[in-house]
Amino acid sequence: MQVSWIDADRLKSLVEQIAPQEERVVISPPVVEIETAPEQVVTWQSAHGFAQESAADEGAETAGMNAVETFHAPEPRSEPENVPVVEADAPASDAEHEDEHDSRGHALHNPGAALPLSRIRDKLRAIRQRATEAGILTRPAEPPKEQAPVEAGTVPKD
Amino acid sequence: MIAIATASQKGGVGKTTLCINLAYSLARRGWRVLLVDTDPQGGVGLSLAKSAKAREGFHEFLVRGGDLSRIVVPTRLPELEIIPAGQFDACARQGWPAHEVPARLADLLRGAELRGADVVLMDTAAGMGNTTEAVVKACDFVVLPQQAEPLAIRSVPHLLETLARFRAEGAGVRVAGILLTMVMREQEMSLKVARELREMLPANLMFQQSIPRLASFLEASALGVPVALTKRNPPPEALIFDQIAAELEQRTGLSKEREREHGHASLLD
Repeated sequence: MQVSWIDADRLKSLVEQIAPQEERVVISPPVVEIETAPEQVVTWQSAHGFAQESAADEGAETAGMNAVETFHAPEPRSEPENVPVVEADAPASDAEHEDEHDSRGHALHNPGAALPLSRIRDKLRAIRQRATEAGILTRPAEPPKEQAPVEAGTVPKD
Repeated sequence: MIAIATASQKGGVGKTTLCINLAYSLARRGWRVLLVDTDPQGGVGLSLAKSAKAREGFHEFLVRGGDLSRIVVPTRLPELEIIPAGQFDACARQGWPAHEVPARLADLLRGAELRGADVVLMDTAAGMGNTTEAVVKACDFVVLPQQAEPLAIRSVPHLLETLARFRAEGAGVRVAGILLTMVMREQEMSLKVARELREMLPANLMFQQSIPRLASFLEASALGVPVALTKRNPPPEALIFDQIAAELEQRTGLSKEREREHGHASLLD
């Protein structure tokens, strides 16, 4: 004798409706070592304040720093093609950075130290803004200086 | 941080008792818990502190928002804080715009997160009124206490229908599970109801643990304390809520982060 008076089929249908839409399988990413220190110290970076900011918010600025380094680490080239690469990388690095923070979430044992995601995003935007204003991200590659033609027959004397 | 609401179609199923004891268990397990009473009857506040009757609380926050620290009440357990219901009648006279309630709730949860809460546990009024609906929709999970009694159990499909509607409206709240309450283990009919429900619903929708109907819970409510504090050493029934807390951690993924960081513990250092 059924005592609960519930229609089992109806219940089954309702259970399907409230089931999570997608089983988001969160696969913990393997630990990825991120180089936070620049390989080459570029003096104008300090002048634009990135070094000071990285001390305060190391995690938040990693993406911004890396985006800048990507642009400036290689030798300047005559082709302007490298410049758009930085713009394309910056949003991707932001997304990666967001994924890192999402997977980490809040530090359970020191919850006060974890920055809210919105604050981290604000800081990244501020860094990108400053970089843009400084002309780092949008500055086109300078055209190579035209070298003065060497006149035939002239040999520089020591 | 995760936000968990408790909801039921009818009153008297043990929501407030569950919230108080579950909040205490979670806090003892090391989580920073904020227990919020959204029930106009103010069961949580009345149970825990006589002074909570006169305090501002959740409903004042609905009316005028503001700083959460004004309405948070600390407890003797540093990990457990409470927001009592507040003065519902006075607030109802002032009124609050219904369309602002979701934003206020979002502010409350954001404030809780900034305070470092790991879990926000929200006790609600019986039924699915406007405020309770908004609270459930604002949360990540909902726990559904369900009295193990033939007539009471008929409300399960209604509740699931409501949640299906929420899902269709885009709310992301998920069912952590249905928790059988007031199970009378000496009554065959009560056990039969529990068995039938477990047979009809998938295991992931039903808490393994259930809450029996015991005099000690009434005694705890009268004293205004969690069951674990009614005696010097917690009575056996207090451990029921530890079990529920452990299950909840797994169902909501709350313990995943901690397990990832710490793994197993050694007995000897």
